[in-house]
Amino acid sequence: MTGKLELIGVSKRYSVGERWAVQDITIRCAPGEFVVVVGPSGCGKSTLLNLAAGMLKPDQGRVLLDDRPVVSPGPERAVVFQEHGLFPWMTAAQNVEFGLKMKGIARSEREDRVAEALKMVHLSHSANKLIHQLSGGMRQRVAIARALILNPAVLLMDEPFAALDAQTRTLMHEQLQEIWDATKKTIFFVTHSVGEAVRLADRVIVLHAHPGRVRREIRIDLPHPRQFDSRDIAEIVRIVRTEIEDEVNRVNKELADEFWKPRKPADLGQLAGDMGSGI
Amino acid sequence: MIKALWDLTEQLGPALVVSLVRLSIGFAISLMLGTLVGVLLWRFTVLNRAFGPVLLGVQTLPSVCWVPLGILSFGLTEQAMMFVLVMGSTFAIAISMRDGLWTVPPIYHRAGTMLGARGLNYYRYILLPASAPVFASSLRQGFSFAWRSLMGGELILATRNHGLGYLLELGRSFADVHQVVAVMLVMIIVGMAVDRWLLAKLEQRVHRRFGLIT
Ligand SMILES: Nc1ncnc2c1ncn2[C@@H]1O[C@H](COP(=O)(O)OP(=O)(O)OP(=O)(O)O)[C@@H](O)[C@H]1O
Ligand SMILES: [Mg+2]
Repeated sequence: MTGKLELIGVSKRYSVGERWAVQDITIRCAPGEFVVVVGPSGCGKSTLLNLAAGMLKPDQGRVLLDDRPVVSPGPERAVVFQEHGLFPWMTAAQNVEFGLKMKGIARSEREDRVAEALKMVHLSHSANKLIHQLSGGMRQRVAIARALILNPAVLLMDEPFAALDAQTRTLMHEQLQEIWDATKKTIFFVTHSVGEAVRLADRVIVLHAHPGRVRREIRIDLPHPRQFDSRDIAEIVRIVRTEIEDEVNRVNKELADEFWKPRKPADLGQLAGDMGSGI
Repeated sequence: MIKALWDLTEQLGPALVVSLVRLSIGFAISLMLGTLVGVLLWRFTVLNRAFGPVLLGVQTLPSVCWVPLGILSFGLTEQAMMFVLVMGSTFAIAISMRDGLWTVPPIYHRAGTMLGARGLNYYRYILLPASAPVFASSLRQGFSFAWRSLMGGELILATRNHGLGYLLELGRSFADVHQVVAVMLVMIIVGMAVDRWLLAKLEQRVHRRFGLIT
C-alpha cells in the first residue's frame, strides 16, 4: 500500500535572519492514516503543508513520499488549498477534469471519471456551473473532487473548511469521512480548529508557534464513522483545547503587543454599557 | 456642418477604409509585439530591471515624435506609417501586459503545477486564460494608443494612399473649417465605436466569465 508521507526534521524560514516559520518538525503519516495538525494562526501550518506538497523546499530536513524524496508539486500529492484555488475560467466539471487532461487521459474516460468524482462530492447537478456561481461549500467540494480524481497517494488539505459556516462545515466533515472511508487515502490536514481536528483525525499533532514546533501528539482512538455530537468527542476536544489554550493565548498576546495596545477590560465594559444606552 | 460631411463622403469613405486597414494591420502587429515584450519582462526580472524604466520613458514620448525616424528609415511609405503606429502603441501594451501579469494570483500557478500543468501546458491552459482580464484591458489601452498614433502619422506623413489624417491636413491647407471639424468627428466616432462596441464588450464578457462583474 502506498501513501506513506514523512517529514523528517524539517525546518523552514522565509528569509535569512528571520525566525523559523517551522523548526525541526518530524511527522510520519502511515498509509491510509488521517493526520491533523492543529495550531493557532501563523504557527506554520500552511508552511508545513506546502513543504509536504513540494511547493516549498525545506532549509533543513527531508520530505519523503513512499521513501522517495519530494522535490516538486505533483499529482501524487494533491492539495486542497485554504482558498480553493479553482480556475474561474473553467466550469466545475472542467476544473475537476483538468488534472486528467494533463495526464493525457482520453476524453471518454475523463468524462466517466469526472462524473464519478462529482457524484462523490454530491455535485453532479452543478457540473456545468462556473466557479463564481457556486457557494463556498460547493467550491471546496469541487476542489476536493479535483484533488481526488488524480488518485493521489496522499491528500493534503489546508484549512479547507475554515471559511464555511458551522452547519456547512459539519456537512463537509461527514462527506470527507465518507470519502476517506471509500478511498482509504492518507490525509494530511491542517486546521486551527480543535473541534475539527478531533472529529476527523486518527492522530492530532499540536503545533507550537514562533518557532513552529511539535508540542504534542494525541491519538484519537474512536471508531469511524464518528457521531460528531457524541460525548467522547466533546471530552477529547476539551482536553486538547486546554492543551493548546495557553499556546493560543500566548500567540494572541504577542500579536496584540505588536500591533496595538489592548484596551483595559474596564473600557470595554464602559463601551458595552454605552451601546445599550443609545438604543 | 452636416452638409460638409455629406460633401466629404466621397473622400471620407475611401480614406476611412485606408485608415481602418492600416489600423487593423498595425494594431495586430503591436499587439503581438507588445504581448511578447510584456511576457518577457514579466518572466525575466533581469530584463525588466534593465528595460522597464526605459520603456516607461519611451512610452511618454508623443507618438508623432516617431515620424522623423520613420521617414528616415523607410521614406514616405506604408512601412513608415506602420512604424509610427507600432512604436506608438507597442510599449503601452507591453507595460499594461506586464503589470497585469504581476496581478495574476500565484495560487493559479501552485494549483496548476500540482495538477501537472508544466512547461507549454502551463502557459496554454493556466497563464493564458488567467491573464484574459488583463489582456482585455491592455487591448483597450493599446487600441487608443494605436488610433492616436495612426492619426498623428497620417497628418504628417504624405503617402500615396490617403487616410483620415491626410484629409484633416487637407482641410487645414484649404482653410476649410467644416472639413476639419467633420474629419475630427469621424475620428472620434471611430475611436468610440471600436472601444465601446468591440473592446469594452469583450472586456465585459471576460469579466463576467470570471465573476468580476455580475
Ligand atoms: N511567503 C512568506 N514570506 C515570508 N513569511 C511568510 C510567508 N508565508 C508565511 N510566512 C510566515 O511564516 C509563519 C507561518 O506562516 P503560515 O502561513 O505557515 O501560518 P499558518 O499556520 O498557516 O497560519 P493561518 O492559520 O493563519 O493560515 C508566519 O509567521 C508568517 O508570517
Ligand atoms: Mg495557513
